Amino acid sequence: MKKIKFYINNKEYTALENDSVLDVALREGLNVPHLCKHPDLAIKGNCRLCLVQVENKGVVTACSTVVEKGMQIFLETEEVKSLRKTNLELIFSEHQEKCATCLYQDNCQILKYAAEFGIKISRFEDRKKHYSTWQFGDSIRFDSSKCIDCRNCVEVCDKQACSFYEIAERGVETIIKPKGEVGGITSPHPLLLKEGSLDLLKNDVDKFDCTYCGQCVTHCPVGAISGVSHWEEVEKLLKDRAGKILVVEIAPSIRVSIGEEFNEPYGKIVTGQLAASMKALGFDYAFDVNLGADFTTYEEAQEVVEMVLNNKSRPLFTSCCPAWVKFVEFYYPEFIAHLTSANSPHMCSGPIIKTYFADYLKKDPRDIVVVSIMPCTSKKHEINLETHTIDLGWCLERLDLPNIKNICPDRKQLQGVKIKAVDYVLTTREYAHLLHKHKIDLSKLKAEKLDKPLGVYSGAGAIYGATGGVMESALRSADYFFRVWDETDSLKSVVKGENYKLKKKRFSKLLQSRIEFKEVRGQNGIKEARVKVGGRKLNVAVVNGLGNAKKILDDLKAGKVKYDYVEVMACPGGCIGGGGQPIPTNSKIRAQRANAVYEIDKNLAIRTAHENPSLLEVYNKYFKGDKEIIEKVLHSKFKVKQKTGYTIV
Amino acid sequence: MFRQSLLKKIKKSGLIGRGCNNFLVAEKWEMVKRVKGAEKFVVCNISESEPGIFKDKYILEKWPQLVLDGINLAMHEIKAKKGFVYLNPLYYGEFQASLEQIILKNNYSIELFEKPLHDYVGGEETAVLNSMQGLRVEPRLKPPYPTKVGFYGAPTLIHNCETFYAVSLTNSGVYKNTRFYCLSGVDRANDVKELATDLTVRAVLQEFDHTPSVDFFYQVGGGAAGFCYNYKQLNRKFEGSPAIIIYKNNDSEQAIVMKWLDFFRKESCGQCVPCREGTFRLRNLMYTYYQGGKLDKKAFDDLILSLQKTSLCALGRTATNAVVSYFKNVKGI
Repeated sequence: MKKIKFYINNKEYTALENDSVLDVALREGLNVPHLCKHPDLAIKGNCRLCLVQVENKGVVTACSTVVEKGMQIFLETEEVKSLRKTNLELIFSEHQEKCATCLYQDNCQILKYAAEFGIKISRFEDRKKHYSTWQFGDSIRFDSSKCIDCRNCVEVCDKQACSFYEIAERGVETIIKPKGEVGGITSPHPLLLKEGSLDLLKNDVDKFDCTYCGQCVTHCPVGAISGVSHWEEVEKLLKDRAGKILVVEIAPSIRVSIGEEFNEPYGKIVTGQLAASMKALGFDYAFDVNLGADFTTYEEAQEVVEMVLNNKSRPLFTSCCPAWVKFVEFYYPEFIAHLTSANSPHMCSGPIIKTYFADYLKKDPRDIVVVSIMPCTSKKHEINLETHTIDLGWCLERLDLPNIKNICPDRKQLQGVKIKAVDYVLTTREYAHLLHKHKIDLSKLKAEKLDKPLGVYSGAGAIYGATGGVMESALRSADYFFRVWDETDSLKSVVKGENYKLKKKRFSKLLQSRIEFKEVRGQNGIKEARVKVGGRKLNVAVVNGLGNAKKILDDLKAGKVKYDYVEVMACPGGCIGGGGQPIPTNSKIRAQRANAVYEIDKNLAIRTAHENPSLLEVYNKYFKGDKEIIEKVLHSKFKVKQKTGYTIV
Repeated sequence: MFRQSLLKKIKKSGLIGRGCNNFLVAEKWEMVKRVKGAEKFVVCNISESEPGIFKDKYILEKWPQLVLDGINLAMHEIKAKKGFVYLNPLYYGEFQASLEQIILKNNYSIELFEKPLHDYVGGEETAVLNSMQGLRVEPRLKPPYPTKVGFYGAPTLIHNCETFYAVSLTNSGVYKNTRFYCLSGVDRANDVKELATDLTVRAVLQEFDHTPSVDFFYQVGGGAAGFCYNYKQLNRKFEGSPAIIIYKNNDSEQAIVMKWLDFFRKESCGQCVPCREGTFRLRNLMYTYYQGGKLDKKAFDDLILSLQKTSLCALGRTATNAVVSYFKNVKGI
């Protein structure tokens, strides 16, 4: 590749062909303020903050200026500084500061710039005070009084194939908003943004809806879009338990990302400190969703095996990403039947905590509060789904819960009482904010262990955080299940959790089955592979990003491709790039978080779900091969969804 | 042989584009030609939406055939299969029938496109392309220029209506280094004259039988983005569009200044910070001042600099030309 020599502040630098001035500056660790530029997205050049002086050219934006040979760039001339100041002051006039309730207060880019530039943030009066806040389902909130019109959300939502946002009107009346109303620039009656006029927008729910993936949240530079807040309620409970037991559980991808909120390097594994922090905050029990992920794998792999053995219609799609599920339910209902029914990891551990663990504690399940810390905004939606409620009457009838039966002698009262399996979902950001607020510096804590009996997990559970992880986990166990089937002619031992020892050993003495499927790893949007598991060949695909999912679904519909099993994650890179993750998140950071997830897997003694003793114990002791129980506790039903659009809050 | 000689003729004539960038026509054609293998397009931009400019209409009334011939010649030269005439909605209503008749008669592969709004920024060349693609009507970041990445990403040759008229004349060897000047303003009906390309403002005023005096000031280059000069400053060539608007010196300052500021506040596409916010703040600042409030001079200066130096497109960069030059040249502030 051609290398180009040029100068920044009279010092020589090297650029690659088509590098922008900003690319090089950031790579070299030079400070150039910028807001609308995001490495995942196209250069838009609309915030006009990354101004630099180019000799013989004047002031330009660094993001949109391609380096030329011999170019002389000056980053901080008096003129540049003064112009940046004015533009930042204008940006602040669009952004109503609501810092007290804003998660960004711990890490706010524009406040940082404000301090750095020494500007008066109230120089121009806030002009968006009366702008609406929209809520999308039960997951995402968009406060347009904080929006600086950079359009990142619009672009990323288009990339996610949902196009739920639009840019309407012109000039100072320009507004970024959820789609659907009378306006639009070609409207003969442009909607002037007077007080109250936004409330008149029509909710065009027939055509558009949000999957709650939260990519708009991680791509918003000013915190105008956020997950619906659960941290305040959790904080209240931590202060005043009101007789409740607080159980917190962490998703596989949290431990490799939350360190960033405490100035740790990207991809630092902080599981032990995370455990310590949860105790420091006052949670009674801290569990690992990785074990839940093992349950998902165990069930999911059986579905894969059954599909092949019974020659069911293909492909089978993973279903542990609720944004992906919602995407299918809305836009491709014809594929709903192809989704696996195994619950997502925290929806496996949640019901187990509220039943068997409650029984172990001798507690009424209604007195247990489960909080999941998730990389995800869509999980806030998932916990409210009807399919994820626990029917207490049924539980007492069918499950082996002697202690709870003692506490609740009058079973009739519990007939038809349904409780949520998981009560709150905190995003990585929300949890980090709770820690900041309570002055707990995660990076300084001494590592502790997570609680058992729900604490043991396998490497298969650990890799759920990265794109390809669910697929790889399922393949590891499917390989074993196929062999069990071949040797015993049934999967009974699997359903019973008997840990059947295979007679025929493959590969090596140490490994019963194949462990690593590196062909499904990596950050590519669509990965295809032909893998051999249990003596059978499967065509698999791993997809991340809903835009890529749309491509695959359209190709499947058109008969252009054929797969047996497909993993889809709505967010780029999978959960490590999820909508609840620390900001910034971009391709480089996602790759580093993913590497850490595989590092955890590599160092674990047990790397398959079917070898996990904690999991086998639950199947053995509690499920006892009863398919109805397994079905009810660990499986979901999906159905065509009515579109809900947004509400004004 | 014929085609080569057209580009040569144009090169020899030194023909300059009649938009406001003073770009050499031959150079633009060569840039489009240079892109190998791609599908190419020609667009004739008849957006004509700046106050005080009405020459395209004049040309469409008198020489529609020459304009379409020019487009067709350019299409042959750059090997474009398709040409477009982008017409503002008023002109579309007025000229659609006559233009389509000529296209049909000559069997030209040219299509008319009605501009959705009669707005100002929609005349910027990349906004024209967005508009034709059904996208939001606003300028794109440049580079890349349309000559490389234009209509649906294809290399596209865009000229103003008058340029194609001049191309036709050049092709038939009768181009005489003339262009169209517009005059409007106090006590006059809008007027257009075809005169030599290199006249000074004063000379043009003379041709229009106007004698500059201390009673008047002049906005040169268009009624929105043009600069204001007093009667002593007219021995200058034109920059931008050759249009002059005559004002009376004792016209209400408030009315004039607010007219310009309102115009840009309304016409900003809303894409970039300095223009979206700056045109709005500047307008409010002066409004407050004219209502008897205090003028925040520092904010006034900062907003103007930010607009001029940091706007994404020419609309924002030129949005304060009139106001600034008015205060400087007319008011002597």
